[in-house]
Amino acid sequence: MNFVWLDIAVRVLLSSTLVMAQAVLLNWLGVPFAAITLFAGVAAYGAVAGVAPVIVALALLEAAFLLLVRPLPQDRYLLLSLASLALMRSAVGAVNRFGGQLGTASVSTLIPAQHPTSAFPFALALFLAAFLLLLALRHSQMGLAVDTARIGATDFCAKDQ
Amino acid sequence: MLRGAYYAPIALAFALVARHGRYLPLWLPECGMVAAYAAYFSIERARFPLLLGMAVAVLAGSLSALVAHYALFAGHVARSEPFAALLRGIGVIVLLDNIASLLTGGYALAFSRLAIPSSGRFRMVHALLGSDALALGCVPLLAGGLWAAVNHTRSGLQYRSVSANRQVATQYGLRVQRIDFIVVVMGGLLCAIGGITNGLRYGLTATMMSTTALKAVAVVVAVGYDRLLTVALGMLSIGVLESLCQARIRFSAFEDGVSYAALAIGLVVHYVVWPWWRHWRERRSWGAEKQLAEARL
Repeated sequence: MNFVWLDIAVRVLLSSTLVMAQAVLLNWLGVPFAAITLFAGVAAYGAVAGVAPVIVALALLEAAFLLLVRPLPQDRYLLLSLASLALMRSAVGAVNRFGGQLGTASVSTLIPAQHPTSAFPFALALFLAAFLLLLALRHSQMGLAVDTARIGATDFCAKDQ
Repeated sequence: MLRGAYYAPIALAFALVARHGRYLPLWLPECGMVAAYAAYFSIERARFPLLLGMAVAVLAGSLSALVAHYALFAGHVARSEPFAALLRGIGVIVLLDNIASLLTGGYALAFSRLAIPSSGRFRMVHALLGSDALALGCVPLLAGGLWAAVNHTRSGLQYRSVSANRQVATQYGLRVQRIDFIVVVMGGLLCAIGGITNGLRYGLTATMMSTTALKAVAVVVAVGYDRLLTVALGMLSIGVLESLCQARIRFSAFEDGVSYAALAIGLVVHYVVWPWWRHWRERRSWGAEKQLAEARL
């Protein structure tokens, strides 16, 4: 029974962290990017594909999406982010090494699969780090600068139609 | 190609409404789901006569499009707010999918009375079902008819004028509200046809139109919403590519990725590569002219 509640807590903490990251991009920075789980999903394959290729893939994805903020209109950018999520799912699903469409279990010994007790401290630390980062951004001069820049950026194409 | 034929009416409806309102009506294909469920409940559950049941379904599809448009999207169209309309459209999709799922307890449904027989005179080729023939027949009919109506009729001219600039069209005395009504009804009607034929072939599920909506977006964005015939052809091509992927075990998982890849490539080409290419050519021709002028001097 305790494992069930712990499992729910881990899921809630991880999902909340993702929501916070999404909120920073979408609500705070004003970038209409709706596929934060794309980065989480690619990073999760680090256990199978190795850390270096995953970092390269994440950096490339980030660069591509940053470059596309300006030329794409807001609604097209949002669609592209959703399409990239589905496209990545299809592409990874086509690779047998990654377990195909069924996926593959984590081989990590640090956080074994289906073991919420070992995952809980990491999930809690991640959640608190994201929460504190949000608080720090909100109450710092940088946060104020971002707010001002967002309001003032009238030529930011992916924000203004 | 059959698969694309099932999606084609949805893509045509999408292109029609997208061009009219200058936004991506992601919610519109859901009217096909409403029509398909209405057909199921009226024909299979309430045992209505087939023709009456079909009329109820088509009416439900068009009516749902009208209600959604006037209740949620008309303001965005008038104020030219494509992003807000897209977000609202995503919300409508989630809401309608959940309602459909609740109505059926999450189970998939299938037509039994409405199913077109696949034997006798309806059977054209070994694997071709009656609904396949219907879907294939609909594509040239709907695409050609719609293209002719939009490009070669007086009402089509009015539609194009309103699509190009609503304010100017209003100032010139065009009845914009009437055109809005006709376009939304036509969009709902096409989606109803697409939804019912899809339901006949692949069965009814709550999310039956969610992926189709993204396929329609992919084609319309990649091709451009003012090219109706190309939209129909693009949808057929997506169907062919998906079937090719499905036929090869190695690429079968990429079947759903075809349309998303088309969407991503279409967006990048349309908004990044093409403007850059045009800019580069302009600069090049400007440089050549400058050199020529210098040589003359």
